[in-house]
Amino acid sequence: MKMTRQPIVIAALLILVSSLLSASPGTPQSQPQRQGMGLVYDSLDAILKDLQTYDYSAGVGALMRLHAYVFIHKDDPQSRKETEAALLKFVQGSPAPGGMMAACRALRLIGGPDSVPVLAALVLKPETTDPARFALERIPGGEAGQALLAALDKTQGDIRRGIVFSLGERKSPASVPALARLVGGKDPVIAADAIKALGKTGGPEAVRALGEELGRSRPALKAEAVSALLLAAERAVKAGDRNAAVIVYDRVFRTADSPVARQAAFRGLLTRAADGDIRIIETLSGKDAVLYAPALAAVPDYFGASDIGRVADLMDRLPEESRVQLTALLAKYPAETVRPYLLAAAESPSLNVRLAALRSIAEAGDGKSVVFLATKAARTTGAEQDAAREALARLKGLDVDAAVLEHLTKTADDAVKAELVQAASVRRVAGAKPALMDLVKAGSPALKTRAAAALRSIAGQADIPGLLDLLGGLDDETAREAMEDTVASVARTNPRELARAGEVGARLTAEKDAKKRTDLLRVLGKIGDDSSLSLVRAAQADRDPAIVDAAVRALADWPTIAARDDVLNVARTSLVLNHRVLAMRAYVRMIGLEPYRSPEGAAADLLKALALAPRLEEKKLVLGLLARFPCVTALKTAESLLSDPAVAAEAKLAADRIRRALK
Amino acid sequence: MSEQRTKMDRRQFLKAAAVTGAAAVAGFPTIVKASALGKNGAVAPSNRIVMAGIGFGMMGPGNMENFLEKPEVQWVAVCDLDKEPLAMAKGMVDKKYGNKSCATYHDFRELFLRQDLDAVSIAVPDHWHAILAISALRAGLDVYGEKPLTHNLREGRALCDAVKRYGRVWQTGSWQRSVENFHQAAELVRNGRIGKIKGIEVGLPSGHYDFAGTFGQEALVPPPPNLDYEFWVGPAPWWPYCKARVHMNWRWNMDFGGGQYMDWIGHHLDIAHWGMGWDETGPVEIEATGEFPTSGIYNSPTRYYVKAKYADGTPMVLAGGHDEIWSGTKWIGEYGWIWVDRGQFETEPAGLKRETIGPEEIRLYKSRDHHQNFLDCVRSRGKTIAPAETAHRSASVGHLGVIAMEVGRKIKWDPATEAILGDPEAERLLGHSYRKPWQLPE
Repeated sequence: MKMTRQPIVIAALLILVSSLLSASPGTPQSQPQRQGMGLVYDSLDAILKDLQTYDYSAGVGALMRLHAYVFIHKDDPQSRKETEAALLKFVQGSPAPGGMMAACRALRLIGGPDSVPVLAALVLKPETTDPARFALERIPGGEAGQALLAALDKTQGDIRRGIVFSLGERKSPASVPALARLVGGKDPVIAADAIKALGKTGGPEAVRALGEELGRSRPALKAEAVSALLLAAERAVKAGDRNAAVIVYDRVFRTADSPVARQAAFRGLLTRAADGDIRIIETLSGKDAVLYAPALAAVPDYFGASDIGRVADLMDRLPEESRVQLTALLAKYPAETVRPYLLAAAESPSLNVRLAALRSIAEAGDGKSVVFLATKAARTTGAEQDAAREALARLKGLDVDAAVLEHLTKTADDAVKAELVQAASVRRVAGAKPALMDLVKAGSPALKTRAAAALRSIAGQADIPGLLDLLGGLDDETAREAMEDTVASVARTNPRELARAGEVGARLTAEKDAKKRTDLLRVLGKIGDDSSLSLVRAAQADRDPAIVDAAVRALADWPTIAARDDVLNVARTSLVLNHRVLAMRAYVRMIGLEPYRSPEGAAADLLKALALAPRLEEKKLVLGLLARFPCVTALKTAESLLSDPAVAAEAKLAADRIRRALK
Repeated sequence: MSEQRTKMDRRQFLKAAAVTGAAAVAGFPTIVKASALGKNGAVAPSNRIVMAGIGFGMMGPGNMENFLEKPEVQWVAVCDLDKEPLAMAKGMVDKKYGNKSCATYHDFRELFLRQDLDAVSIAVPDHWHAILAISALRAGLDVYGEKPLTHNLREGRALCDAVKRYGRVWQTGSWQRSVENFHQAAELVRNGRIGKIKGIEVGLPSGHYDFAGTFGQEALVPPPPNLDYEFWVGPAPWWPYCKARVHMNWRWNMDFGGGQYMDWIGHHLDIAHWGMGWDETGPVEIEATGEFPTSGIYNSPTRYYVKAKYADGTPMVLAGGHDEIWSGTKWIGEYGWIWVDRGQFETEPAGLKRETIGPEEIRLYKSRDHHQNFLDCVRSRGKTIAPAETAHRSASVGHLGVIAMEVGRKIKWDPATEAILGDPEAERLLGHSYRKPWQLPE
């Protein structure tokens, strides 16, 4: 469907405006159809003729043509006036509702005083009242507002409601007396609408009328009046009349039944109040729990670093939810000021308070928070541990890095040390490198692993020889794996892709120790420097099965497609099932690395893989990838497996996807 | 009073609705519930956050699924105008809890009468965003709401004001802020890693996408019995029912949505603002061109090019369907560029993307779970990572672009007063008119 649409190029319309106007000065209605740049410009007559009976069934064509016509003609005063006149004539000719709405939308944009009398008549009729008032709502000047006001007395029911809505949208003080009369009237529906309109309009007269409603015993309307008064008070604040707003807020605060409204009024009273600090302390010391939340929310406006303690001292008397809120807002204050409160909150019996405290320490804390957080992270689990670790990562200031470094070497607690290792890594504390290397050499097995991993984010190219030395000295399998990853990760930061494995390759060539050679081969696989592939290939012919195993694993890990034929060869020829599985999975992965190659070529490779698949799992893997390369070969391959119950479901999914893509 | 409210049945509700008009029908809750108190009240504080959802046609189920995974959430009700997605949503909740307790609602006003709710997740067509959201805020609920924040600028300001007035927590569904690569890119920009920003390019999708598989089903037919179509159209100008107009594809009609442009502005433009520290401001100038369909049932731009300028002189281009503008957000600075998109993050120089933020540098708000961030803020009463004002400012660039397309000239905008300067015609387009009985509750 998208393809069949002819776009209106508005930019092009702009270019054509001058030629169109010059071709038809003064008489847009008689303008002939024009074509140019694939666009059709009707005369307004033709457009309106279509809109006369417009019932939406023919799509947006006629509407968009009018839209374009108005767009072209609105900026020339004469042409705009003539377009407006034609639209006014049209709306008086009883068009279909769709046409009426389209024309009134146009008048909403370009209508002026001339439109008002016509629309004023239409607003009185049920079938045209909405489009007419939509236009009247937006036409500037007093005439449109007066027309709506005049219509109030001539209408009832739904039509009148719409007019009240539109008066509310115009927000004209001139409407207030009439709206106020409606508030006092007997029709509760209209009264509610008028209350809303008065709230939107604001001003002393509107407030007075709304205030009177508070004294009446109509609960539903009282709630509306409260809402409208809150709105009117905000308007007064924005207009710079805080005193007027305070009177309103105070009245609402005293008379509203709803906690939500009382909170809103209290919030208003606290805004820029001279005695805000006193009110907050009184409120938090009092028993009206409804007001704790707005009082706490206003704390940063009234309490600085020097006196936040006055609020924080109230912590223990507050309920849990308020303690969470207060603890959270302490994040805005300097560490020295709020540290005791946050440390106490971090030991609260309530998990929510503890979490809030840790999050606040993340923002407000400093170097002195480091040991506390590391200990917390070491002694807790779940969300609390996550929050403590996150805080360690986010603490601001150079003193934090210095503290991490200092305690990393000082602390004797391995669990705390492990957290500091992680913090040094996340924060990339460059000075921590020697300490981390020492831990790799002499730490507990868990610390060795963690330190080896941490070096990944801190070490640079120049550290690779040192890291390889460390790797050679590691006995623990997990730590070795972490160090292999670290060496590879650091090597991969070399922007020269074919020089990444230089040091590792050189060591492999010189190394005689089988265990160290296997380590280096695995590192080569993780680096994936294609220039070192020959070393891995050569290792496949080694007599030591451990070396061969390491070479196969290196090929299977290879991150580029350069090793594709190698893994295919292993999948074809290896006598070791594990190797065939690893190689096959790598082969399929490598096919997926080239999403933009010809689908037929990729599908042919996948077909090869399918034929060699050592197990059911690899067949499913192939079928999973097949749909990414939709072509006849792929489809036939998937369909050929539909009868194999072991993979029929995967084959069907793939075939369906390929068929859809080929449509 | 609270007893009366608690016992209000559907008939009483409808009677009240008739009196008070439309949105936020029953005014304010009149009993002291946990959320209204900021959970400070005499009632025993529960550790659960009681939630409901409105709208399950597109983003609603996914959002609800995310919330249902959180142990602190108790989902108690679902609301939709279509019985089919409503039943599906109830099924999801009931399956999660192993019971049949999830309540269903047709009318959001009735849902908001519940006294046990703390928060609501709203994922409805754009033309309903403001009315539902402001009604929820007025009912004392915290809100997780989908982007774009609202359907026009006036609604956006009204919604932001209501969030402040009622002291509620708001999270917009601009979830890219909670994803690492976007956070990292914005943080690098904010810390001046590419120097002074000389320009920003924001690439958004073009055309219309058939989310529902209903393209071509344009025949005007009676609405299906499961859908309350009259209510669905609600405040928007009337358009008769056809299948391609509603679920998931409503976005291509400007009376219900804003096309690709407004759908995505709350993502990539939002990220652009984040990097620049423009969360509470907007452009000072904007001009735009768009290409619109001339047939079919949709009227939103299929291709567009929007140029904005900010107070410090920084230019920004937003475009859909212009290949020279990469999808995502690209900041171009004195010393290089940073580009980020979903699953993509590239910089020039290339090493820049591996840099971390130093201990003395600016740290942007960090979240790695958008829904959890909302829940955390419901508890702390703090600001979420995508609060209403921020979402409004992102959407405002979109709304201004639409107005600039409509008037065909450059618009001058004062982001402080949110007024269009010296262009009364453009000013007329700041808000929409509403079909009875709906109006913006403000």
